[in-house]
Amino acid sequence: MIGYVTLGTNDLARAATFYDAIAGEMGIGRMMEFDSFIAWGEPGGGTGIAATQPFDGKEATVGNGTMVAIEAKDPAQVDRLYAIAMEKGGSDEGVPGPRGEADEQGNVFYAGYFRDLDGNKLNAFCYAKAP
Amino acid sequence: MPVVHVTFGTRDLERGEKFYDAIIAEFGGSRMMETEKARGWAFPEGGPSIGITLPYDGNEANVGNGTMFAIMGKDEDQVRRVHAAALANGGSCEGPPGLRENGFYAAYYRDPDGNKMNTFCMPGES
Repeated sequence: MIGYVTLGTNDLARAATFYDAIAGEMGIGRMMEFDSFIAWGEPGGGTGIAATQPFDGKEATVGNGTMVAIEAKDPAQVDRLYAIAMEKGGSDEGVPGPRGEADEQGNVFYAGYFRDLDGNKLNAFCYAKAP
Repeated sequence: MPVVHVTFGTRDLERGEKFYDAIIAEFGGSRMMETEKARGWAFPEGGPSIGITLPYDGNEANVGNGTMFAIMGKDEDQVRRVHAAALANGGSCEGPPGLRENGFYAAYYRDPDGNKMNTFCMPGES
């Protein structure tokens, strides 16, 4: 399984305030911390997310097509995660709402898309009963 | 974190799928999603799925410096096999299999689009 994913940052302290808040909403804290690298998650738990200064010492950049998707427990939490992202200086990539058609069980994909302060794209989503 | 899916951008889905079919097969996983613009693979033991996609904005895919997806291997042999499969299927080497300062046994590689990945395990598991 995927053990962890890293996203590049040009300002680790700034990234930390963003991910502390996002992880906090999910009830998760930091699991690893170095001068150039902070990871959020639970040891032995699910896949961790890390903000890191690039290994080559050059500027961090964003990959077009790269995205990390986080599963929320319900639409209200998707809304909260998106709001936290905006409040902490992230940017909008698609406001929270249902996407696509409901499946056979009447569940619809509900997601909000946003970027962190370095421009890395994330989404928070859940499956919810279609209104 | 409840990360459940990660995607990398690709400029060539066919080239990318050949690479990921080979890599994920080393973990016993398989392709679970196929659309006009994207492919996705799942791991047998669960955890996040991994996908490649033509970017949503229609512009060319590129690589983020600092971005890496790390896949847990079960032992050193598997780490070496995954790295070899990466190089045999259009990937490039970003650090050969071996012990790293952080205490892991790891190999670093890039997919055919240049996206960085690693496979790691605790040393001595082989």
